[in-house]
Amino acid sequence: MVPITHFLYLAIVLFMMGVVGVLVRRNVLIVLMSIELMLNGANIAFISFSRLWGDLGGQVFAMFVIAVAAAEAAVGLAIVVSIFRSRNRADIDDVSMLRD
Amino acid sequence: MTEPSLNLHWIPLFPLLGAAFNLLLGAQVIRLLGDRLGKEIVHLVAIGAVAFSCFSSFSLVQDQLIGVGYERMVQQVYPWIVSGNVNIGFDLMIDRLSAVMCMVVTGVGLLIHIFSVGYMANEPLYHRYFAYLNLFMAAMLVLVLGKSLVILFVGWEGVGLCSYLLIGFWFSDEEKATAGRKAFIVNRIGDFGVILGMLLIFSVVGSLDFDAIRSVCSAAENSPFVTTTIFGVSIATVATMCLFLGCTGKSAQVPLYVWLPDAMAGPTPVSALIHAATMVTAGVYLCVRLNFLFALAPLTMAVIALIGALTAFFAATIGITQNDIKKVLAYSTVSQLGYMFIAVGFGAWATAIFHLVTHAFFKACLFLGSGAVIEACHHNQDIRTMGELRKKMPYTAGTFFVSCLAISGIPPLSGFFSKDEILLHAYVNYSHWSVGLNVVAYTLGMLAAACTAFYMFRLYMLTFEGKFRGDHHTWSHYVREHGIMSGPLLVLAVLAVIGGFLGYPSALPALPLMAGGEALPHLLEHWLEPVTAMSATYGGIYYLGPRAGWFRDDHHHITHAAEYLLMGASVMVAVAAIGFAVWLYRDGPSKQVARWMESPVLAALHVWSYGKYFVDEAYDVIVRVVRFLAGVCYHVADALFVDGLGVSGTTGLVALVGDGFRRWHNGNVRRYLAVLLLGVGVVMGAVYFNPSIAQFGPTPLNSMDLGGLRPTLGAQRVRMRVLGFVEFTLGPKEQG
Repeated sequence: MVPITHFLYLAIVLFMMGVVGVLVRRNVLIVLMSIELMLNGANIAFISFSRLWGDLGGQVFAMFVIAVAAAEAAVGLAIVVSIFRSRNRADIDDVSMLRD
Repeated sequence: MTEPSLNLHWIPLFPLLGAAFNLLLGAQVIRLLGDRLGKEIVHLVAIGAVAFSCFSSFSLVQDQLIGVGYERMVQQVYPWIVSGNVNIGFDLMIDRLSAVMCMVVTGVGLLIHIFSVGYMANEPLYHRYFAYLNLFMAAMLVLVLGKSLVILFVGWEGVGLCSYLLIGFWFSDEEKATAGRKAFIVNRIGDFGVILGMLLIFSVVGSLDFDAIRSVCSAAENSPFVTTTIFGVSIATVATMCLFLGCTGKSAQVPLYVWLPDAMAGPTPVSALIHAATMVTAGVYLCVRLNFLFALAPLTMAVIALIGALTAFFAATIGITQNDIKKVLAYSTVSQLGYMFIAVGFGAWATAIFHLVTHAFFKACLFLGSGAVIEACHHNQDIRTMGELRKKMPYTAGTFFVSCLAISGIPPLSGFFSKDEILLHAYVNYSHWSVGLNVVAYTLGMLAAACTAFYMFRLYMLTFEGKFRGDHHTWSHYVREHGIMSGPLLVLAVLAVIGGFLGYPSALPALPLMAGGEALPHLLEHWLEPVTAMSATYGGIYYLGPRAGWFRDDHHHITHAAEYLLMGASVMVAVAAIGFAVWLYRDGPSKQVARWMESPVLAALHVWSYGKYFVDEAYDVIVRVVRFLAGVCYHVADALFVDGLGVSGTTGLVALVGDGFRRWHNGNVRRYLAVLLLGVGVVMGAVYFNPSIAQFGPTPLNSMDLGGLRPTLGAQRVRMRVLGFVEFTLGPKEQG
């Protein structure tokens, strides 16, 4: 049987890939995808523990996260589209108007 | 006697409702219905409210106090302050003293409300004027109906507030606004004394109810008021001194009388109502109400008599030289209030109230008459530019003349009886305790009476007789008398004539119109006997206080012949002073006076009198010191500490911190995330190096009794490494 630590390592690797992606990439689309990656890392951790302890709570959480991720993707893409329309590029460093 | 309960609260409540209506809706009513109809409604509401109070006071007295014969009635409106042992109810009471005050206040108040309709007709803030006037009536009625010192004090402060509002009614004129503030501040000094007196009384009685105070006072020399001392002085003396300080403020006695002449800045009907007939007599009312306490303090009584005599005399001498019609009347009021305090000081409580009543009649009449004159002369108040007005305004002149005779003490008008009674009391009340006080009081009283007669007729002659000295325009375009103003004047003049028969002296022969030839009894003294009965029973050293019926008993006999002599003397003095004034001012300002002014002594006296003895200037020194201290407090405590360090300091600190943190919010999402990760790293690092901080709460989850539920998270210990070097554990600590 595959020990739980393997699943957790996978989750961490996915999550860190997402983090690094958000941190270093400037394209908004890539950033959104990296966020999805982080969410899925978290999902894998949830499901692993759910398996480990025989508790369905973790899997329910994962379902919620997927639903939220879908909503977030929809809103996020809409924002990306409107940003792109307004300035013909989608660089996350340009979008800092809410600073003030 | 049983104390029936009654709906007394309607008496002050109706003017209060009238005030609320006019304050809240008056402006809208005038705006919506137009100037004419709107003002009609405003003053009908105000007058109706007072008329209701007046009617209910009179009918109450007629039906209950006289008809059924109740000594008094009490109403406990609601428990107001209940805290521990202190239980102060909003209790109202009408007894014979309150009844007299109620009838005077509502009766004179009603006439003055009616007069105001004419006097204030062109006032843009009409509704506000009547609202304040109604509010004043409500406060004054609470003052006289209160069953405890606390309720009295509520009314006391209320009338002070209304006085301030009405003196400064034309507040856009800085001088008038200042007069209002002066009245308020001077009164505050007195009110401080009242509060101290109340606290002292409370410390002895444990209550401020008049009945409670009265029952403690019933032990006379053995009551705790006398046996307890502060620095060797009995509490009765200290407390009454404090209360009397309040009276000097409210009733304009030396040394706090300075606000009353300035209070003439208000509309003239207000001067008649508040600053002549009612509010300024509140101090007299307070002393008579607490007569049993004042009678226990012979020292205070002596001081009151002395202050009263001094006030009566000095104010009268100032009145001689004033040229403003209202200023003369104002100093006359101060002087007459001094008379009332002479009576209070000699324990002649009924006499004080007697003079209060007659003074309310003739002084209200004089003030309203001066209001009519001022209105006719287009708001000119200088009597040097008047004269001959009798031809233009016969009713005003006639009533003014009658009231002048009354205040001068010409029999059989009201002022003669009341003033003469006061002087009689002053004359016969000698005591071993304060030798010579009665001589001083009597002499000053007589001199003041002479001055009064002189300045009143100087005022009358300069205003109504001789040749008109103003400009031609005023003479030909004077404002005609009209009924709404002349009517109240006539009623008050009639009252000023007959009011004296309330206290017809027993020494005088029976009136022919009395059935059976019996002497008319001193109605007011008999009427007030239940109120003053207790202080009359005190014996011992309390000569000054207990006076009811005293001077007619056999031990201190004053024969009828002596009484006639005293009356004759005061009438002679009054007639001589009147004759002198008429002779001097028969053709306006006298050349004779101008010649006298060449004498340096008389000129100097004139300067002192005209300058009001420069008391205001002397007080100004104190005021400057206080203002300087207030300035220091403002700049140090307020501007530096509260505003500077407190308010601006707090906001400045927050702004500074905010400035620092704002640099972080540069809108760069990636940096936010980096900081977030850093934070997570720090937390995880802390947990790693010190795992105990991860366990918050007193009980670890797995050791709790979960009632059959299988613990999930934390049931097993999980240990793992991240990226080969960060090892962390989840779950409970291993035991042991």
